[in-house]
Formats: sequence, C-alpha cells, structure tokens
Amino acid sequence: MPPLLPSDPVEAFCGLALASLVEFLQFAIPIGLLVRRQRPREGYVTRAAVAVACLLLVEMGMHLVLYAVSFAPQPLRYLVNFLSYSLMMVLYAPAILFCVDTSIWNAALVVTAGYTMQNLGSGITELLRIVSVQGFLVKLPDPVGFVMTSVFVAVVVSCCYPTFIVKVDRVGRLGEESRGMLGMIALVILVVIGYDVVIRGLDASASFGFLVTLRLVHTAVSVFILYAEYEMLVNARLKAEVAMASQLSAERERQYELSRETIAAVNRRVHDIRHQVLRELDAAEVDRTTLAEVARDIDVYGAMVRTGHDALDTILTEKSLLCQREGITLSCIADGSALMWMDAVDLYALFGDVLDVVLDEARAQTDASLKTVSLTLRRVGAMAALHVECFSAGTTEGDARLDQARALVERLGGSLVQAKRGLTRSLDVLLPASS
Amino acid sequence: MYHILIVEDEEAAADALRAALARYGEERGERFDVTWAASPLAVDEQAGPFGLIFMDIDMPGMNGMEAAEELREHDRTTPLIFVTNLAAYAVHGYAVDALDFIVKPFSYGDFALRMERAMRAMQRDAGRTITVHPREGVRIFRDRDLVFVDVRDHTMMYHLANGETFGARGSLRSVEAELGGEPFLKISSGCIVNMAHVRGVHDAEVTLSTGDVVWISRANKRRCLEAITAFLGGGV
Repeated sequence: MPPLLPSDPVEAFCGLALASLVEFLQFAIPIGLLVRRQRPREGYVTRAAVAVACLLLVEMGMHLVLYAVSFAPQPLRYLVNFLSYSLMMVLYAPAILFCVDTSIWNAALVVTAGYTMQNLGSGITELLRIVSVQGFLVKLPDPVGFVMTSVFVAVVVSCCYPTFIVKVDRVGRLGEESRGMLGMIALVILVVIGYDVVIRGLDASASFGFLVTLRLVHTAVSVFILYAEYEMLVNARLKAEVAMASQLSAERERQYELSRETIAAVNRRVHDIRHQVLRELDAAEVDRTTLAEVARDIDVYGAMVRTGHDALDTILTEKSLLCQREGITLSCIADGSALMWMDAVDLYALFGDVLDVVLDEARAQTDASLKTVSLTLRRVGAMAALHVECFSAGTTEGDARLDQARALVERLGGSLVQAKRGLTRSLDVLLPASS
Repeated sequence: MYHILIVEDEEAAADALRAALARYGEERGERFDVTWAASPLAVDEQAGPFGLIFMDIDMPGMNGMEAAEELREHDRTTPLIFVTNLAAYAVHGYAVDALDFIVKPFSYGDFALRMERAMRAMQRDAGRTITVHPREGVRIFRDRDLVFVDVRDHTMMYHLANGETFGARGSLRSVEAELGGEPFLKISSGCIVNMAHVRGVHDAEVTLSTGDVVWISRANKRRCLEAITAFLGGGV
C-alpha cells in the first residue's frame, strides 16, 4: 500500500517515486530471476531499459491513483486497488515478451509466480503486523511497514531461489499452449491479489483469530500456487519429451527399414558378383578391368556384420560402412542372441546412440591411427554386457545421445556407465539377456 | 613381466605384433616376454602359462577359431585377441570368449586400444591369495575362488566357488579392507560379492555363479549397479 504523501509537492513526488521504485523492485526482482535464463532479444539492454522505464511510470501512475482514492469509500478503494494491481501484473507479461524470446504462456507463468512471491512476502509482513498489534505492540508507521515488506519479500525470494527458481530453470520453459495457465492467472488475480486486498480492508473490524486464519490461508494458497506452477511446468516438459521420443522413434524405424533394404541390396549385388566371377573364370581370357571392378565392389562386403540378430546386423553394418568411408577402424564381437528379446527399433536406437558417441570421439582425433573403435557384446549369465571403447579426444563429454541411451537402458531394467581411463573412453551397458 | 603367445603363420604379421608390443611396452613401462608359434599345433606347452594370446584365424591345419575352442576347454580365463584378415569370422569371437580382434594390416592405434583392455584383463586375472583364520586352522585360497562374504550371527561367512562355506571372526569392514576393492564390491552392510561371479542383476537382486541370491541395499543401488556394469562390460 502507498505511504501517505507529504504536503510539499517535491517531497511528495520523491516519496511517490521512492514508493513506486521499491514496490517495482519487489515484483521485478523475482520476475527477473525467473527470466534470466531465457534467450534475450536483440538489443536486450535497450529493450530492458525501455520496459523498466515504462513499468516504473505505470507504477507511479498507479500509486497516484491509489493515493487519490485513499479518501474514497471503502468499496471503491477495494475495487481500484484490485484492478490496479491486476492490471500491473498483466502489464509485466508484454514487458517480458518485449525483452526475451519466450512464449506468452511462459511469460504468464513467470509473472504469476513473481507476483505470488511478492504477495507471499507482503502477506507474511501483514501477518506479523497483526500478531504484533494483538500483542499490544505499537503499530508500525507506513514507511517502516514498507521497509519490512521489502525485507520479507527479499526473504521469500531468497527461500524460493533454491526451492523454486533454480528448479524451474532446470525444467525449462513453458513452450506449448497451456489451458491450466489460464486457470492459474485467474487464481492469482482472484486469490493472491483480490483476497489480499479484502483482508487488508478487514483489519480494523475483524477479530484477531479470524484475521490470522485469513492470512494463513493466503500464505498457504500462495505456496500452493508456486507448487502447482512448478508441477504444471514439469508435466508440460514430460509431455513434450514423450512427443519428441515418439517422433524420434518413428524416424528411427524409417531409418532402420531403409538400412535393412540397403543391406539386402548389397547382399543381392554380392550374389551377382559371384556369378560374374564364375563366368570370368569360364572365359578363355580373364578381363582384368572386370576383376578390378569386382574387387572394388566386394570391398564393401568386409563391412557386413552378421551377429544372428537382424536389427543388430543392420545398425552394425550401417556404422561399419560409415567407418569404412571415414577411415575409422571398427571391430565388433557381438552375440546377437543375447538381445533377441529387445524391440528392433529400441536396439537400433541404443547401438546407434552409443556408437555415435564414440564415433564422434574417433572423428575428432587428429592422428589417423587413433581413429579406432572396439565393440563387444557378450552374454554374462542372465545378462548381456556391451562394451564400447575408443581413444578419447575429450569432445563429447555431455552428449545428449548418451542421455537418450541411458534413459532407454534404464527403462529396459539395465544400467549404462561411461569411464575415462588414461587415453581411452569407454561405455558399458548391462541389460537383462531375456525380457 | 607378462608372458605373451603369438600364434600366427605369417612371420611378417608376427613381427608386426612383436614390434607393436615392444613399442607399447616402452610407452607404458611394461615388459613382455613374447613366444611365437607358427600354428596352434606348434605351441610349446612347456612355454606357458601365458597371460595373453594373439591368435590368427586363417591358418593352415587347425584354424584359430578351432584352436581357441580347444583352448577354452581347459582355460576359460586367459585373454584372447584374434588377429585376422577375416573380420566376418571374428564377429563370433564371443563363442570362445575372445576379448577383441585386430584386422590385418593394423595401425599401432588399433593395436594399442585393444592392448589397453588386455592389460586391464591381465591385471584383473593376475590373482592373489587370501588367507582366512577360521576357528580351527588356516584357509588359503585364490581371490577368484571367493564368490561372496556375508554376515551371519556376527560371523563372517566365506562362500567359495566349489560350494564350500566356512565362518571366521571379524567384521565386514575389516574383510572389505583386506579384499581391497575390485573385483570385490560391498553391496550392503552385510554382504561383499566378487563381481566376477555375478550372473544376473534384477532390480536389487543379484544372482551369483553358485546360484546364491544376495541383495543390494537401497542406498548403494546406483553405485553398485554402475560398478557391476563397468566390471562385466569389460571396462575395468
């Protein structure tokens, strides 16, 4: 609430500006912390300066209006207070969209969360004030109350930083349309802002117990809103991940089929070559050009891998051909029967991801003789153990493909670990040998 | 000093392996005693035991894969690396527990990567003896023969691969310190397993080569699963 203005116009303006600035900071700091990891728009500093200036001007205008109605009847005062703070909250959203590249839904989440944190702080200040008045302590004068509110908002933001803001950073942002967010905006406007305005108005008339209960409810609702917003963000992220995974799976299925057809074509070609060689041997004179062509053609056959598992043969042959083209040596000892239970697309994806990680390392080697990769898949009791090793170039430490592979392995009841020992990097996967 | 056997009918290929071993030994400060045999039938039995065997696959008389099968009938542990022109055959090296293979002609990098792993396997298989003092007498056995140790009524129970079990006084902490890490892994406050004897892991349930089932404690689950994965994968 704005402090009473002094009669001197200069002093009054300074008081108004200070009150506006402090209240602006109470809202802007939590909101700023929540958007600090978002991608800034071009000319971010100028945009931010313009946004801050506009919001400060609106805040000052709002305080002026609030001062003007402070002598008006109570219902009008309530209404103006409620509308002013609600409008102010809504205005923060375009300001965020003006400064950073984010969705309107994410801007709404950030603004409502920031407002809730501020209100939580100011609500706690009010609660303590009510308790202190009941205890016959002197009611704090407005400027001191204003400072106290700032202190408690700072305490709430400090507590929310590790428990909410950092967690929100980790989850990411709300990209897709979220109907739940509309409900959350309504809840913040009605409960956090509206309810707070109503309780403040009850101060003089209501009983101590009733006021304390109302304040505790306000605090609980504010905490619930922050929790619900975080859960909403997590759910949105999970939905996006599921959608991406199914898209990826469809793409891999297509790639797997393509590779299988290619390998079948190579097999047919090798069969033809065999007949061609036999014809050449029957001829009176051997055509050297034809034989050289045959030798070149069958070179590709060295890359064919047969493990007894169709999907494994496909991915290993595909990667083996790739290695041949890029001058990387790939040795595979693989017991395909150990993973016969695995879904073909899962197996194709797992070996594809794991090999991509080590092949990136091999590609990054400047010494051609270090472009070498070893893969072994064997059965150990009731388990299948996969080991992939290469010389480390230190390029793909936090590879996203490794996270995908780990998620897949863990879903199948196995585990994946990576290790660096001296000059080499290895990935080990342990999976059940039966489903 | 590691004793290494090269079974290779082409002298030039055997020389290339010797040269690679010499360079590797120089770089890593290791010493190798190398024995060469032109065919599996020419291996001098008296020259063994060997820490590592390099085996060509395509050899006249007995081929490398047949020789490896014969070797595995009486020796399940000596690391074996195929050296071959025929990558397609080597893919099935798992059938004879081959550690890896090298395609001829090989670069030093191809050799060194596989040798790194072979060195880890040799160091793991080097083995040592464990001495335990039960109530009566002394028991001395190889570490590879110990499957797991658990605690029953304040007694440390040692379970060996031959099914024998005996108890001794002490604490699991002191047993853990004595066993000295890999291949041994403490999976709970009451059990240490030899990871070389793990044959199945399902959730927190670990099945051992003797058929015994032990459980990983909740707090140790991730750490233990990662250690077992790295060990059985061959990454150790």
